[in-house]
Amino acid sequence: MTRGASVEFAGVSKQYGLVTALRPTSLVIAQGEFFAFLGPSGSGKSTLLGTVAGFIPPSEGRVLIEGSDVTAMPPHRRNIGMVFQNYALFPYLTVAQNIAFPLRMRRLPRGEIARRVDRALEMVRLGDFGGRMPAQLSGGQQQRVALARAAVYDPPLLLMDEPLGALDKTLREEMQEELRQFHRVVGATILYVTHDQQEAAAMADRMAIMNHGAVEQAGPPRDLYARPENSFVARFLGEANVLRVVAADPVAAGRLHLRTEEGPALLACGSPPAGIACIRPEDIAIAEAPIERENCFRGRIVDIVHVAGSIRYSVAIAANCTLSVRVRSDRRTAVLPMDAAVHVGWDAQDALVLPS
Amino acid sequence: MAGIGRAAKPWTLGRGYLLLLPLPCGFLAVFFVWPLLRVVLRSVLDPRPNFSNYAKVLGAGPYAHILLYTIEIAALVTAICLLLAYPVAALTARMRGGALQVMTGLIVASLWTSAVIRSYAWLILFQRYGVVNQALIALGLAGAPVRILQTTTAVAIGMVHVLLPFMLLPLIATMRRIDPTLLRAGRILGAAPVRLFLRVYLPLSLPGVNAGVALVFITSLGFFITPSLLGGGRTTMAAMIIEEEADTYLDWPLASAIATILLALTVVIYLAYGRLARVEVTRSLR
Repeated sequence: MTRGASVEFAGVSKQYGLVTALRPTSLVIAQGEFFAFLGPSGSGKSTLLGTVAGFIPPSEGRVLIEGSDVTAMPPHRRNIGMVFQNYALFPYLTVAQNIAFPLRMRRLPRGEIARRVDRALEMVRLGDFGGRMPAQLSGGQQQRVALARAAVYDPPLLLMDEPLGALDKTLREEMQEELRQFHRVVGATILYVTHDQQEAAAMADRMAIMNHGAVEQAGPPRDLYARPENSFVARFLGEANVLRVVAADPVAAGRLHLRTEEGPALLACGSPPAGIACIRPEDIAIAEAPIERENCFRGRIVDIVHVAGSIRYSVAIAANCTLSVRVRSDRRTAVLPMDAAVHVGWDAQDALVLPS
Repeated sequence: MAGIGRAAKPWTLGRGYLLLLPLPCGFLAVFFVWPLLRVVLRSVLDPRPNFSNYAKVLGAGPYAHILLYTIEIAALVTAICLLLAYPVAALTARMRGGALQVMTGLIVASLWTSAVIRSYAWLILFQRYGVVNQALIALGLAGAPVRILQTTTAVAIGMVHVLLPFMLLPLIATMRRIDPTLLRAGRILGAAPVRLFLRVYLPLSLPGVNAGVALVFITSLGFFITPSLLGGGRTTMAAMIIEEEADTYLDWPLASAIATILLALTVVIYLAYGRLARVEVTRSLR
């Protein structure tokens, strides 16, 4: 098992002429961590990964691996493994030759190369495929070859740029499980870029939410979901009902009375400054009778969507305020009808108060 | 219309298109296959049905030598074209937008001037008191005018000039399709620049190399105008001797035999190269 390498970004930024791809970013990733960069396209996550690989020289700042500055080091000397979205297997080489490539570049003896290639093929369960050409394999198999090729020289750091992006949903979920397993076995630090929040949350120890070339927030997936620091993070992870706060009056210790642009006034836990209030759809209760919660509103069901395991109601509680409400459902759950007059409610602590 | 409301099908060659086939086929049969057959038949039937014409070509006399020389010069021209074109193509393939258009425009524009005119231009540059000789003398590289015309050098330079675009275009087309991610993969996996070129870029560009080499080499074998203008009188290639036998000596059977051998040689070399190139691609990194 390899010891994972730590990675540190110290004020790394990237400008392309007048376009800012990455604003100054500082971040420390611990040894052996599975760290995901999550964000929409153009958020700078691939740029950040490119500075670690050495493909993209940062405009400013330094990248450190295991404490040593690699900012000026060319990619081939960094000893990093990388898996690409389109696999990037060499089409003119067999599977075994592809996996042998990094070992040949490191001038390992022939016998050692053969031994390691066999072991890598076993690890990704492609033992009999060494003689095939990449084009003869399925997408999932090609991705496993790419993984074997990136790991065969035991790099302490592995970069993965949307490695599952080209696979269909079922295969993707299978590969997620396999990658987690792989991470446990290999022990290398993994930097993982994706735009799929479920994928990131399912696999990463910690993740960074990126937007407009900057890290909005970093932390364990659970924390980011429970305690987003701004509305972008709140909306990007899962769903959120966001209400704009126009006035906030403290009513007790840590409790605010909020008036919102959308109309409803509500009680929330938090402290000023209060810019917005977020309520997760699953934190809202819905019933025909009034609900015993600190916040309770009357409304009308304007939309019903059935998703696996839950029902999502859209409930209009004011002229321009429609809340999304999600309730768990099974076969016995009674579905409220369309246009039904209902009550929705939540406690003060269910609402997140954020500055913006 | 029938297509509306239905799922779009990929375009396929419908049966109706087969009706168009007889026209080009007939044209080729009448103006290409039949004359070619006549040439081959004449080489064995005229003046008597035997292989005497072939015996003459391959026996004593200048013919076998000229055929060998033709292959030699074609190989030389192909090699020079490849060496000159490869770096230019690699650079061009990396260009984008305007620069790329200017570059391909220049290459294609060079095809607009006929080989005759371009070869005449070299004739003037290479003559006894031409620009090249004057420059050589002025630079002190030669004491007196050097013979350039009628030498292999003159023929090779002229042919490279005419044939370079046919090497450049397939190279550029192939190199532009090289996936930059593969080069990145090569670098991160540990390939230093030189090995990255040898182990990744070169094998990925080989299809273009093969196409260019086949195109230039085969065209070189049958080249006539440039070698006869720049090499005429001393340096003789196969097409020139065929023309001479047919036109000057009116020995059509002998000319037919040489032409048939040249054709056979071309096909054999092409097939052999094709096989070699395929093996090379699959073995390139073993």
